[in-house]
Amino acid sequence: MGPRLTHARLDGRELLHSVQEDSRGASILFYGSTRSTPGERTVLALDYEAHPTLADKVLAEIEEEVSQRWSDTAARVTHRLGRVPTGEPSVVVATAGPHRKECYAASQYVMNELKRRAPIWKKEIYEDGSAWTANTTA
Amino acid sequence: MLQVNVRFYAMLREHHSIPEQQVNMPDGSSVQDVVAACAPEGLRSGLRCAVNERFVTMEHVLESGDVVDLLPPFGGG
Repeated sequence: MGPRLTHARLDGRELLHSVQEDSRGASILFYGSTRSTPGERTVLALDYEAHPTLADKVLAEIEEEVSQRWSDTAARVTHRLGRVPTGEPSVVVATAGPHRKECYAASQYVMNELKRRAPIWKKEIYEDGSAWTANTTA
Repeated sequence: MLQVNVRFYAMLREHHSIPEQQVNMPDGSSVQDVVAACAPEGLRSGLRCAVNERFVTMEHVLESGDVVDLLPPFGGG
């Protein structure tokens, strides 16, 4: 299994293999990519940074929570750091479980909790400047 | 007097132009006191904190040598 935080381009195939088991008939790979128009200005890229130890700890906790909440279900997440150009994935979540219901629910849980709890920050890069943006609380 | 190492992230780091600094605080100071000393008013909303890499509340009382992380609102995902 690779690191949960990386500056490398994300490829979810290894992540998906890490959660698949013979007993888990369903698996899902979710990619979250940088959008060009999340608001009024055109975004060229996102710059991500993270608290190196706390972010990894929180992501590991979220993965463990998935195993506790859904029987025979596993999740793994990897978040990219540094500059992520528009269209490239900034986060990948792999889930696997007995059926698709658990997989979809676990995948959504991971993303919701990551956005709420992981000390990761992003700055939108525009042609004429940049701005830090935070996730809206649910 | 106690001394703590305060670490800044994201917009707080840009505000200070440095990633961390040693700060002297009166004995019995809390995380809230460090926030008041180190975070401008406009950057305090939604701030979370960690001490020695564990999330704490603003009321957490500090000890000399503590590492205090001031964490602006998160934006991952």
